[in-house]
Order: sequence, then C-alpha cells, then structure tokens
Amino acid sequence: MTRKFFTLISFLAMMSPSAWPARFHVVTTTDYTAALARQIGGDKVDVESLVPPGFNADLYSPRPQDLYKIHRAKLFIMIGLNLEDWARDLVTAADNPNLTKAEIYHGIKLLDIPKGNVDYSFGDIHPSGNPHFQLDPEAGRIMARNIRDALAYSDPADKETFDKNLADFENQLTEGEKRWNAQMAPFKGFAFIPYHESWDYFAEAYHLVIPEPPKTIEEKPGFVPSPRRVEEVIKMAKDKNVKLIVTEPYYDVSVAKTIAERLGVPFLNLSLYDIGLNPKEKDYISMLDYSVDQFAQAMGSHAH
Amino acid sequence: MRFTISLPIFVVVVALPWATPVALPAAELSNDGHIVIPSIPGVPKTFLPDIGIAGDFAFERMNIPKTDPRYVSEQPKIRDGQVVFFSPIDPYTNAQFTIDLPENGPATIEEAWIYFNKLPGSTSVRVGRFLPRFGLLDLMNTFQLPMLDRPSAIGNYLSPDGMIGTGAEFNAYIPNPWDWNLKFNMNAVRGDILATGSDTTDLAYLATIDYSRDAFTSGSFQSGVSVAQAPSPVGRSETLVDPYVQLQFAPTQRKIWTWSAEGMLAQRHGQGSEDDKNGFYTFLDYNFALRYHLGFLVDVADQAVAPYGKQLGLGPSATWFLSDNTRMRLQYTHETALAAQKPEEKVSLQVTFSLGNLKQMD
Repeated sequence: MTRKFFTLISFLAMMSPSAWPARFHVVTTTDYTAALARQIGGDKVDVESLVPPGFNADLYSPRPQDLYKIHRAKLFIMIGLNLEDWARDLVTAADNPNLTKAEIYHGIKLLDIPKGNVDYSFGDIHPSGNPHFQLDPEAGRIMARNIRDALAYSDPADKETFDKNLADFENQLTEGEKRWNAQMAPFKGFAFIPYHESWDYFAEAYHLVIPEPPKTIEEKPGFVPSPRRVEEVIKMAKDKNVKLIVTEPYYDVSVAKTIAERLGVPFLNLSLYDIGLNPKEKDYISMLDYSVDQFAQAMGSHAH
Repeated sequence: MRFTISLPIFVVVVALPWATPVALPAAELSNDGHIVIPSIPGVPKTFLPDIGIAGDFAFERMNIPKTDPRYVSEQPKIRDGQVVFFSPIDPYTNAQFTIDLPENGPATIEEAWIYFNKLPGSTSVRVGRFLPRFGLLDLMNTFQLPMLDRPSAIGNYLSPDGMIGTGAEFNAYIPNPWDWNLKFNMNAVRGDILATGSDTTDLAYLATIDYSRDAFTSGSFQSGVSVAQAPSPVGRSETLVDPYVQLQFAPTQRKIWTWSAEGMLAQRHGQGSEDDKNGFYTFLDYNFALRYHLGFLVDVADQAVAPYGKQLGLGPSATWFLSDNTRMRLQYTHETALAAQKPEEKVSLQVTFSLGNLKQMD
C-alpha cells in the first residue's frame, strides 16, 4: 500500500509543467481591487480576489486555496499599508518565482499617519497611514491608474487595451463624481462618528466632519470599546452635535446601535466590501453609488 | 485637486528570493580610460531578519494522585518559549532558525533550515532540521494548536510535541487538467524521528498529498492523506497512514465554524498481536465576534505502549484572543481509564503570546 502511494504521487509530480493553464491570472486581495482590475484588464485578464465578499480585508484569515491562487498568478495586487499583513506570508509560501506584486496605495494622499514611535500598545494601527480609502473617488482614480500600470508591466502587449479601459473608467468616475457631489452637498459640515477609521477619506471628499475626539467609537483600532469608552463617546457626540453613527457589519454593531439610540440619531451599518454580494454593487462605480446613497439616506433621515 | 502627481511606474517587484536578480549596471569607461564598475544598487549590506518570539504558559489542576504515573506537576509552568529568525539569504533561498527555550534545561535548536524555492517545475526543497508536514497538525508547535495539547490519536504515534526531523523535504504542486489545488510533499529524514534516542541508521520517509478548495463562498474544504515509513520506537519498523479532512463554514466574518477530523492507522511490525493500532479525533471550533472561540474535542486512541487499551478523551474549551498577539484558553479534559486506572479529569488555563509574523496562533 505504501509503495503504491509513493509510486502514484511520484508519477503525478513528474508530469510535465506544460499541463498548467497558460492564462494571465491576476489575484487581488479585496473585492473592489478585483472589480477595478476586471474593468481595466477587460477580457485580457482572469481576476480573482482572496478575501470573499462581505469580509473585511483587515481581519481576514487566509484559506488553504489562497496559496494556490497566488502560486499560479502572474500579478498579485494588494492595497498595502499593512492592510493585508497576512498576504506577505502567503506570497513567501506560494513558491511563485514569476510573480509580480503591486501595492496600489502609491500616489494617494494618506491620512492618519501616526506621529512618533508606534508599537503594539496603539492597537491594530496602520503605521504608514490609513488604508481605508476605497470610498474616495479620487483614490479610486489613482488605484485604477496604478492597476493599469501593473497590468501593462505584466502584459506590455495589451497596454493599449488597458489604456482605453482606464480612460472609459475615468469618464464613468467623473460622471459619478458629479452625482455624488450633488447628493452629498446638503450635508456639508455635518458631523458623524464611525466605529473604525474607515470613513476619513469619505469625510474629506464630501466635506463632512468627524469630530476628534472621539474620532471613532473604538478607543484603540481593532478593540471593542469598553463601557467607559461608550459613555465618553456619547458625551462627546452630544457636545459636538453628531448627526449619524456609522459602523460596518464585521465590527460590534450592537455597540454602535446603542450609541445611536442613546443619542437619538440615525445609525448606518454598511459593509465596505460587498461587491458581488449585494446585487446593487456590481463594480467599483456602483459600489460608490450605493454607499453614497446609503449614507445620504441615513443622514437625510435625520436632517428632515 | 488633491492628487496631481503624475505617477511613475510603481510596480514593486518584491525583493524576495524568487524575484528576478537585479541586473548589474553596465561597466563604463571613465575619462581617464579606466573601467568603472558601479556598485550594485539596492543590495542591503545589513542582515535584518524577521524575528518572532513566542511563549506559552499553563496552569493545570487534575484529579489523579501524585503516585499515579500519569501525574504531572500542577505548578504553573512554561510549556514552550521560542525565538525565531527568518530571512531571505539570497535570491533563491530562505532560511529559518528557531531556538527553543524550555523552562528547565539548556536552550536547543528546534529548527534550522534553508529553503530553495526557485527550482524547476515550480518545486521547492527544504534542507535542515524542521517540522515535516504530516496530517493536519504536525506543522504546528504545541502552542499553535487549536486545542491545549495534541490529541492522543496523533500524539501517541508521533509525539506529544509533534515531529521534528533532520533531512530534506520536497514540495510540488501536481499539475492536473482540472486546475485542482493538489500539493505533494515528501520528506526523507533521520530515522529517529519517531524512535527518539534510538541509534538507528535507517531513514524515515513521510509523504503527503493534499487537496483544498474554497467552499460555501467564504469557507473552505481541505483533505489529504499522509503516509510514513519509519523505524519504530517498539518493534522493527512502523507504517503510519493519516487521512484528514477540514471543513470551514463562514457565513460572516463574525461566525466561523471549523470542523476537523483526522485518523491514524499505525502498523508496528514485529509486535505480534499488538501490531495494529488506531486513533481518531474530531474537533469542532466556533469562532464568534472575531476574538472568541468555543471548541469541542473528541479523541479516541489506542495506547501505543503498555498498558494497552483504548481511551476516550473529551475536551470542551473556550479561547479568547485578547489581541492578535495574546491568547487565553480554558480547557476541561476528561479521559477514560485504562485497566484499573482512575479516569483523568483536568482543568487547564493556558496563556500564550506570539509576537511577530512567524508563529501565528490558531
């Protein structure tokens, strides 16, 4: 039995590598980077993301097949800024000598870069800056350009196609910005408090205010707030005329809901990683459409 | 406009071992006619390995008297302490070095290996002293397990701390027309891997074939079988067959169910009527609210040495990750009696920390 087993696996292992599929595989970490890569790459690429829809990339634990996805990929696209710390070990263990890795945060004006020395006592902090910029259309534009560059680096023959697809995407984004700016204009200067530092870029893009302190419901990133912290947030929110509490389903929603109820303000629970799961979020543009719409509705329910 | 910088090509070709080596700049003729060879840009002159530190502390209470041979000290103890260093050492090779720091006794080298990961046919080879792949759990140090200790079904035939071998390991993805994730791993290591302290000159061979895929949209399925042929601690030699399966169901990131099952079929040649021994365990883990786990272990195993017999172990546990780096676990263990022994009841409190990326806890 043992001899047969060794014979079988030796035979399989010796099969020619030419049996491998020869497609241009692109692997991304998140759903929205996959959506961008699909839009820019068009029919020249085969894209899959590691983090399943509805899951936060920051909290993800890799699955066994993730190694294989990276192993057979030609290009691996990640956000960077320690959002996907888990991906580093995967890339090392995937044994793919032909892989190109692209971090697409480059060029984005980063917020929340901590000052001074950073250590574990800060919580799950991103020491090089806040990587949650997906709801900022301008960041989306830069990510798309970076993805175009990465695709063209890996597949120079199809650069013209990627350039054209990027131009189409940027036109859609520009049109979208007009819609989103108009939709958010009535809320200029309104204050809201998010559970996590996921909304800073959104607030800046639409001239909203996240009062600091408390800045977030969490006292330290990645840690459930204590009852004392909850009371502090409620007090500060009252003082600063906060009109909305925002959270995401992978965090402790009940805490955010309690704070909103105690304040008598609306509460928005919105996943930032729902492309493909929510039928209204099919690609990056429709993700922004949906997110802006949800935010405006929640804010509007208070304003009226 | 906030973002007006025109972007250069930003693609990062990671300077890991599999990356294309940096091309040497061309030599030039200087004004005085001498050949100038520029230095190699971007080559670090300092050695900065990744460093990980792990510690595992436990406090146990049990019902068996101190005169019972199964009794172990109930004093708080350091079960494991490690310092791990990992680094690429050239464009084709990684290396890792792990120092084990027991509570009593001298520090030892637990792992010291180099890993060639840029070999033809997408294969890789590890050489040195390492934890070989065998079944689901053997790549884990004890403190990385999802339960307090390795189940008896596995620990009775390998070792409670898992196997550490000195030799070579070969890894390959198996090409197949269905694009399945089939991975093959084979090890040839020193023959004392199971028979610790023996002076055998024979080698031990271990092989694993593993299949995994995503399942239920956000979950996963993994299955495989490991086979070993090695000199035996009792008898002449030993054949081990270890089939395993793991299924993960994750409807949301705050509710993740993981079910594992692993069997051990051991044949110890030259043991007469005690030739064949088996073991089986199953473990269900429920991870909720990101940082909390409830687990339940059922562990059925033949004793590998006298007094022979079959034991059943039950182990409910609760685990709290205080942070990504610190974990606290409370486990109750009940183990049925062998012969005239008294059933064992044990309550364990375990505190573990692991800093750095090198020894992640489960």
